[in-house]
Amino acid sequence: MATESGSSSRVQKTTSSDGAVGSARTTRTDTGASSSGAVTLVSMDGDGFVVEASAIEVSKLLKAMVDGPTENAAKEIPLTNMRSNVVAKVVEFCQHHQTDPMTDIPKPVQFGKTVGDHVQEWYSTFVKALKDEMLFEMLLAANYLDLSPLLELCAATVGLRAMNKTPEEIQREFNIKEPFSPEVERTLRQENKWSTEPPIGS
Amino acid sequence: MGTMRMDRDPLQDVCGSDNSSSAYGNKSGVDESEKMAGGCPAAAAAEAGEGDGAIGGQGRMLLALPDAMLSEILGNLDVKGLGRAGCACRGLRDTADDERLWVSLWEGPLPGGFLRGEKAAHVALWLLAKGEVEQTRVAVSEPSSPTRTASRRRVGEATATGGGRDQGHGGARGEEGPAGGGAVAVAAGFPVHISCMAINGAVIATAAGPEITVWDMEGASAPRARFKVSGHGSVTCLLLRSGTLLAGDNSGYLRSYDVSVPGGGRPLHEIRAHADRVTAIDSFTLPVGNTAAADSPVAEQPGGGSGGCYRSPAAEGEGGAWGRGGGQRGRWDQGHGWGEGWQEEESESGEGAQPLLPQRHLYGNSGASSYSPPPHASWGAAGEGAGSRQQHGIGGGTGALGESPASAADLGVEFNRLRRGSSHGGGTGEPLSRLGKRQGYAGRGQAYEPAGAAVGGGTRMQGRGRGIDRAGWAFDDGNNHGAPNAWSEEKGGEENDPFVGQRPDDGKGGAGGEQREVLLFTASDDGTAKAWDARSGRFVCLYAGHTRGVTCLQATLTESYGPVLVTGGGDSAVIVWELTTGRCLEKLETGAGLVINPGGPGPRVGCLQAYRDTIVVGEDRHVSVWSLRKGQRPRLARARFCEHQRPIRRLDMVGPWIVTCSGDYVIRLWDSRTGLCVRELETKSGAAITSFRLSGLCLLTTSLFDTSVLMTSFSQRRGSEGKGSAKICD
Repeated sequence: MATESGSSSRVQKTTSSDGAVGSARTTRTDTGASSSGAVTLVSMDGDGFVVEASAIEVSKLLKAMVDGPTENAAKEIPLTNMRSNVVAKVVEFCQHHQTDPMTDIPKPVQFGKTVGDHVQEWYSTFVKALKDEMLFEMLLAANYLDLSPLLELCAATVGLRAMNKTPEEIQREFNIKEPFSPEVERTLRQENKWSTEPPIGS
Repeated sequence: MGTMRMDRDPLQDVCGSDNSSSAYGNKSGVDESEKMAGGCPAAAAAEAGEGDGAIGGQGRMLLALPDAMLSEILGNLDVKGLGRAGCACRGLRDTADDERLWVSLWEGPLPGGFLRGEKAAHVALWLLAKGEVEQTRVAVSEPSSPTRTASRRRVGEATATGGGRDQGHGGARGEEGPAGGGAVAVAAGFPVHISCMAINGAVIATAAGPEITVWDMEGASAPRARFKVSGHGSVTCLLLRSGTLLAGDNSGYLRSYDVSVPGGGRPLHEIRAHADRVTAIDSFTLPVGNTAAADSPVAEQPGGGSGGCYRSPAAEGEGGAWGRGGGQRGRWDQGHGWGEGWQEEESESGEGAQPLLPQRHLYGNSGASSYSPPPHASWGAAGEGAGSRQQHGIGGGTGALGESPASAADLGVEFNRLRRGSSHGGGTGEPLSRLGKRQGYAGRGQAYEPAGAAVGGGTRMQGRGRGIDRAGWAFDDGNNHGAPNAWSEEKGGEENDPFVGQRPDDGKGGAGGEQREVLLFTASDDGTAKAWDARSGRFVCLYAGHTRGVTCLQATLTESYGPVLVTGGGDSAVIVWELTTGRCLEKLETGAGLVINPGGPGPRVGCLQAYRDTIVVGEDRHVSVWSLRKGQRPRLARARFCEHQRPIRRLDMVGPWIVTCSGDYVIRLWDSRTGLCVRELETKSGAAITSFRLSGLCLLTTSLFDTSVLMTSFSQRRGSEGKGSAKICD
């Protein structure tokens, strides 16, 4: 879990068992140790991440849970569908977002621009560090947590991979093997001829 | 990353299990190959092992995302990127075609929120209007035939704007200068000019005189198919949808052809749709849950139950329906003698001698034009019913719509429908039930009983209908029942063409319940528009109310009224009909205050486009934009702003832009927000432009006295000439 080493020092990875999830659940984080505004996010691996409540307010889902009527229950939020490294990244993102909110990415991203041109450097390095499936998992996590800046960031990153690419290149890029029937493809190409030729930038 | 543990369930939880499982379900067919290829979406990774970390590992991952997120991702793309992404794979295409994405690419709010659905076209115009494109010449070519040259030399019409324009450049194709050019003709000849054309995907159909030619837009030097209309007809309008070509001719026939048959052939079906020239055809897929002609008095068709007439005096109890119908119509048609028509009709029904009077009959007295139906000798045999009807129409004297033998066609089809019903029993339950309803409106309770109604109607009408049987034979279900019906023939497997929602194998009557009903609409110079069932060719609904010929129509799904049919006519009226019932919803007073010819008729509505709640009307030389609002009078969103030199022949709306062509040489692009002309396109056709179609970045135009289609293509930058080698031929 090399990715977690980059987390801010405020995140303490609490006790965790490397065993099954079931046993992990039993080794609770000592939430009493943290400040009153802290909550613990528990990943599906059983790892707990202590984070300040104010930091995760950017996620509408987490905010709703934290602000919930039963305060005790909200102290520990199980995220059973996210792996530890995803939660760590999310926490990292939230904490940075608290200090330096991400600038908006215009839609559509203008041709020739990259994500880095629109957001602060920290965010562009953050998203660059996400590899492949991790990126998609972050995307899903952001969607689930209703964490719009992160969603925006990841979506733009994925989207730009398809930018300025021919359909074939897009297929290669995303390893899509779902060919059209020849006739449909022909029609499609004819209809979209304007977009496929001439190549942009030629 | 090495310790990454992936599990299907959590991911699905994240995705929302519905979405992701269906996504997986859809794509299960490619699972194996994906795994073999090292693609490792989360779901597959559990079994297939770890991802290789390569960039190619995400394909299934990408497609497994919920649609909303895919939209989010694609929302970052620009116009071209979106277009290309749509070409990459099915999953992306569905998302990339989502109009909301395209809407977000427009700058600024759209007036009335209208946006034409043709993605490629509006993208083309988007590029065009932003000035990023340049008109270039595309390839040329086909040897010119003598006929073509000859016909080109006849150019000379419509020189209104034309001083310095290159006219009569017959045979001088190669000499066209590149400057301002962009139109290229490719043709082989017909002795007459192309009267209409239709495009579907990469297939284009054109008609000149009695001949229809179908071409592939590229790659083919010879026509894909040729058809010739029998008799003395000449084709007046075309509609091309997924392998089926519909052609209306100048004597009211509607025929369907299978364009996939190499070389052409005979029509698959033929109906006498109208009494006069068919002027426009459109198709529409009804939204789920809508059934045509379910419960409207106007839609009431000749039933033929016990009375043999569809409205007997005994029906007066239920005649409230009729009263309602009259009232509604009276709203916009006051003082046009509705009552008179009614009375007369009444008395005739009373005699019980009149079977199957079409509703249109009621309009016999409305208006003061002296329209009289053309003689149709062949319909003389239409039986006494038709004969007396005609008489009646004349008796009405000023009958704007007169009564015409087209009713005989109605009869034939109707008759046929009934007969089919009786012979197939439950097999065609849908038509029967509908019929039952209609008859129910006529106050005949027993008509609700399918068998009784059908048999009664059938036998009753056979006596009368024999002479006109011909009108409906093409759709006799006895022949094609259970067999794929070519009206609904759908080519290309997964093409989701709006024309006919059903697969051929759905053609059986029994499957009627779940099908989305596809309707065809025809407009005619006889003053009516009609709806036909695209699957069976069955007559569905009549839209009568114009006092002159209907010139254009379009069916659309509006927000305020649901599915509607919008028709425009030579009487300078635009009428919005309830699509399923034929009830008049609104009448737009388009011609008000516009005097074209003092003392003469008002401006003729030559063309219109309707999309959602916006209707763009081309009346004579002007364009006006209307927007419909529920419960209120339609609002004139933008008054006439277009100033062509000649009446507008065709218009199209592309985003906030409106494209018009008229009898002058110029195609103009208007910004409906400002009412200003954004761009003019001169096609060097040397004659009046009669029609145009947008197809991707190509603009196809036809001209008067021209036997070729001119293709203007736009490319993004200078120097990219010659990219297309499209050959469009007559």
